[in-house]
Order: sequence, then C-alpha cells, then structure tokens
Amino acid sequence: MEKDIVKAIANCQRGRKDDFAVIYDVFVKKIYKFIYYKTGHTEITEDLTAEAFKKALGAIDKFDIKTNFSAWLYTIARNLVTDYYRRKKDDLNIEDVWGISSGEDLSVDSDNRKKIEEVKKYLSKLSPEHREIVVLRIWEGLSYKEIAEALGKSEESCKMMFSRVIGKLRNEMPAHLFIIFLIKIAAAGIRRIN
Amino acid sequence: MDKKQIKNILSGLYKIDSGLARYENDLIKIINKLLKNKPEVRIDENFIQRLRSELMESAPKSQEKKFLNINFNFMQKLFYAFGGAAVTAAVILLLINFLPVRPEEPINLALPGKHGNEKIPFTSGEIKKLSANAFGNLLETGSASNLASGAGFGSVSKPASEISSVAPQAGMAKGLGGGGMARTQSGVGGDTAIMPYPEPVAYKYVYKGKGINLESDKMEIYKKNNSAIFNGSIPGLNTKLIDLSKFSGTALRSFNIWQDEKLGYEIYVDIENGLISVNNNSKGWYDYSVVCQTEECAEQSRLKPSDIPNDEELIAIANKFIKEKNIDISQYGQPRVEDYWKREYEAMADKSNAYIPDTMSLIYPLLLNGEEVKDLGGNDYGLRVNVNIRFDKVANLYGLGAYNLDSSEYSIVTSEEKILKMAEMGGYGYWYGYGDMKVVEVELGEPVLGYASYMRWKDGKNEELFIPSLVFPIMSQPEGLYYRKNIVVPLVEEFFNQDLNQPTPEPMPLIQKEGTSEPSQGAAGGTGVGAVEVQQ
Repeated sequence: MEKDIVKAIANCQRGRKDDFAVIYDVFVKKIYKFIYYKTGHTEITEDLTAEAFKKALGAIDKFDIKTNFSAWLYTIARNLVTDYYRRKKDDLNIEDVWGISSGEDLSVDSDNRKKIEEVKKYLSKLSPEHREIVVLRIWEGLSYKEIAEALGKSEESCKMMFSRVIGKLRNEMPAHLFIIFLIKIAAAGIRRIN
Repeated sequence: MDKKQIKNILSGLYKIDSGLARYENDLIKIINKLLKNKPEVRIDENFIQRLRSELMESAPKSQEKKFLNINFNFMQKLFYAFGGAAVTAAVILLLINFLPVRPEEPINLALPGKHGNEKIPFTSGEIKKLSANAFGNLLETGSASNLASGAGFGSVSKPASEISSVAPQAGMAKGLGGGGMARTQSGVGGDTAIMPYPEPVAYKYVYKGKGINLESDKMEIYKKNNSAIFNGSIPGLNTKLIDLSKFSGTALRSFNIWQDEKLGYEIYVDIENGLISVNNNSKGWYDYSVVCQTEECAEQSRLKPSDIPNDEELIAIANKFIKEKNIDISQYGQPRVEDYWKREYEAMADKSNAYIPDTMSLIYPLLLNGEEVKDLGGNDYGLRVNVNIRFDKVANLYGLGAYNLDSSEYSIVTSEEKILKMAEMGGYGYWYGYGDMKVVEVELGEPVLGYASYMRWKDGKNEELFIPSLVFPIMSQPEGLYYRKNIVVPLVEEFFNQDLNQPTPEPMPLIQKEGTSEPSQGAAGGTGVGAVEVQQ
C-alpha cells in the first residue's frame, strides 16, 4: 500500500479525519469507474460512489492498517452495487447490469446502451469476479499488480484467471461469428433469389 | 483501436500461457470487440468536488452500545428476520433465570478480538497473504475422513463405498436430499428380501484430451481463518447459580435459537468455525411415513414424480427464503438442483413402488477466485438448501460460512504423467487393483483448474484448507447407481506422496447357502452395495 495512503489512514484513525481527503483524491475516480462499469448509469454510479466513501469514512477507525485498503474499498463498492441490484430485482443472482437479460428494463445511459448490449452476450456468461478482471485489464488498462491490489488477490492468481477467462471468451466467440456468417450467407441467398 | 494496448495485453497473456499465441487472431478480435464497446465514462468534476466537501463536513458516527453485544454484520439481520420476538424472549428468559449478582455491571457477551474489546464482524471475503508453506505439512494429521467429505460441517458428499455396482435391482443407496430405500422387490429366493450381492467393479478413469500444461509450479493454498472470532472472554456475566466471570479466558463458541411455532426453524451458530445452519424445528414438519398407520394412508401420501416442482420453482423457493432472511450468499455461485434421486429413480427397473423424497436438495457452490470449490470426491461443495415440497418451504440450510482466508504459496506437481495417474485411480485416496474385478473405463473431460476443500486435524481442532486442484468432469455415467460427477486431483506435492501402488483390498467372499437360488451376503457383507472404489 502506498505510504501516503497508510499515513492518511493512520491519521484518520487518530482522529484527524481531514486526511480522508488524501484517500478520497486517490481513489474516487477509480471507484467511480469501477461502479460505472457495473451499472452503466451515471446517477446510480454517483449515488453508489457517494455511499461507498461515506461507508469507508464511517468504518475507517476499524480498518486494520496492515491489510489491503484498496481491496477493502473495492469490496465496499462491489457490495453496494450487488445490494442495489438485489433490491431492484427479485432474482438474487443479479449482481450488476450484466446479469440483467436483454429486453428487461435496462437503466443504462442511452449513449452507452448499444455498447453494453454488444458485449453483454460475452460478459454476462462470466462470473462477476471474472468480469471484473476483464474490465480492469482491458477497459481500465490496469497492470496485474494493480488488479491484484484492487481485488485482494495475488498477482499470479489474477494472471491465471485472466488467461482462463480470455480462453473461455475465445471459445464463446467463434460460435457467434459462425452464426453471423450463416445469417449473412442466408441473406445473400435470399437477395439472389429476389 | 489502440494497437499498442492490444499488443501489451497479448504479450502479457502469452507470458502466462504461451499456447494462446495459436489463437492470436481470435484474441485480437475479442480484445478489439471489448475495446470498441468500452462504455464511455464521463465523470462530472462538480460531483467529485461536491462529494469531497460533503465528506469533509460530515462527522464520523459513533457506534451505539448494544445490549446484546454480538456484532455480526449479517447475523443481526438474521435475528430480526427470524423473529426478534423469539430472540428477545430467549434473552429475557436467560436474564430471569440467571440474574446478575452485581446488576450494576453490564451483561456483555462481546467477543473481544485481538484488538481488545473491538468486536470482529462475522463477515466474509478477506484474504490475508502469508509466507510460503505457512501451513506446514498438509498431510501431517490428515485422515480418511477427508475423502469425499470436504467440509467439517454440513458436508453431504458421498463416500466412495456407497457407489454401487451394475446390479439394477439393488436397493437404492441413500442419496442427498432425502432419497430413501426403494420399496421394490429386490430380494432373491426364499421369503426374505435379500439384496443380491452385486459384482464388484473397478473404475478406471481415462483422459484422452489435450495435454495438461501448468505454467507455474507454485500456487496459493487457502486456509479458513476463524482465529479472530474465537479469542475472548465473557466478562461480567454472573448468575445466581454460578459466576461465569470467574472462568478466565472463556468465550462463546456456539449457540442455538429456536422458533416455537409450526413450520418454524432452529438456527445453530457455530462461532468457533464460522458456520451457521438453519433447520426445521420439527413442529408440523411431519414425516408421513411416521404419521401413517395404514397402507392406504401411506399410499395416498406417497409422492409421485409429477409432484416434484421443476428446477426453476425450487430455486425460486430457496431464493425467496434467502432474500427474506437477508442471508449473504455473495461468496456462492448460481444455484442448481441436485438430481441424485432422479438418477436412482431412472435406474430402477420397477418404478411402481419407488420412493420419491419429499425434500429436494439445492447447492449454491462456494466460489474461490471465481471457480467452484469441490470436495476431494469431486462433489459439489457450498451452501446447501433443502426444500420440502409438501409445504414448498425451505426445510434446511447449511454450509453457510464466513470465509476469511489466509493464503500461502506451495509447490505444485506439474507432471502430466503423475496427474493422470492419480486421475486414473479416481483422485486422492482412491486406488484400484484389477485382480478378478470387472474393469469399467470412464471417460474424463478436459480439466478445469479449481479448488478442493480439505479438512485437516491439527493441534486439536479441524482446519479447512482449499487446495488448488484439477477437476476432471466425468463425461459419461457408467451403468447402474454411480454418483461421481468429477475426479479431483489436488496439485500440491504432498498429496502425491501416497503409495499409488497399494493392492486393492479383496471384496468379502460370498457364502453360498443351500436351497437358495442366489448367494446371500457374507458375514461382513456390509450394505449390499459393491465396493468398487476403495477409500484409504
């Protein structure tokens, strides 16, 4: 954990809560994006980001400074997203926007709706944990070290998980492309007849 | 698209698994697709500043003093959900019967942890990394009870001795979710229903897939860490009968709460092991076979396959219960219904008198690093929920745990030959010898890297470890009552140090009785189910 963050946490625990601003400045955009990639909706993201930092501030006295603060904060954020979707939907298995079936009410920003639908068919088949690794690695461009910090795992585990997930996506995608290929052939055939 | 970014991702991938380079074109398509459809995130700087100001102005909230000072994050919700009245009544009863000798002192059932009086929440998800080989020799005090059992609490996996042979008329072994004995005529000869002794069979597990290539020779093992919970005292709790505070260093290890109502529940909280189970309180949950005194009554109450709700309905009942009781299942995966009873039913030649269980079992598999945990027998492992289909209610729930883990790196076996040899035998602790036994080959599918739960007895207590393992799915079920779904090969070196060439114990000889058309069981014939895989 970076020294500045450790120092800021220690100061907060000594009663100097102003130092929480140091932590906030480092993490706010990371947590915001993390939540956004799980919800696709700006207002929901703002609400949950605010709640995440309020919870973190409220609980910082109990945080064990020897453990991974980044993972703790990401866990708070993740749990808030999960709780949000479980309140929203009766189906308990939904933990983020990727679990909502296409066609259902999808409260995402309209300009990102199409993009989310395009990749939903792949990402929804992954477990939430695998999805996070893909998002953090490909969309956020984080290194494995940074991902390990965020998720509270070893770098080695993150590498192996990512390679397995990419392998799994590779197996999923060819079938989809093959189907598109067939559809294109069929469409071309119909055009020739007409 | 950012070519440099794609190249960077690919080069990182190839370092992990060089085999992926064969699929570079596909990988580029995937990464391109994901990058092209990356949602655009627009962060409002005003929001960032506004939130910052709000946080700086707010003061930290102080924690309320609670009368019953046990602070389990999801446990409190559980108490309220199960009827605060029942719990409050129990606490009041406790107080009336055990009045404090010195009432001015607080009754404090707090569980101080390593930080003095700070309460440790009963939550999950923390992983603490330790040095390599921190858990010592994993098999130091290992026992046969690990085999196909996995959990120390709520384990419902089947020991290998219950795996039967190919005799179709054999009585059904008791399955998960309440499968019972078939009321079918399985006897032979005479007027006693003696199950025929089935032919012993040895299963040989054969893998013909792609080569097994483990890149790293070290992996993390995880150990469930309950130490923070069980370390405290119960100060100030005095009673008229005995002053408990005179016993220094005591701590609350477990407790029960119970609903005194029809179709209610009893909840057992095992603080020491971080586990909770919910069971029906037996009031109104009667067993028709016990209540019925006549054959007609039993006949009318007997269930038919058409009475069993479909999987979606069963999952909905379980999910509803979990939601109502605010049970945290974030560490578990998608639920599925177990079908042991169905396989037994299908295997029966005469289904007319078949027993259909009145509870259906569901499993929410425990996830670790996104992968499902199995037990060493290859059975599903995690949160089990039994649904009573006569009442469409959850009857039992167990395996709910607070999974905080220590991790430590260990050397693993990467030799394909060694791995496949253990797989061939059926996994750790299984072996076979052919001898006169019929050998049935069982095909294994491509393995997945996952984890196996392993219990170790050390220093006078059970410890649960999660061992990185290769999980080979069984592709085709052999004939007869065969229950295994996977073969699990734990990859840590110590598990390979067992003697892989032990001779198979011979099955008990049959004693042929005069006058019977079929042999009866020998003196130590056991259950009548053929021992086709022998546990260590």
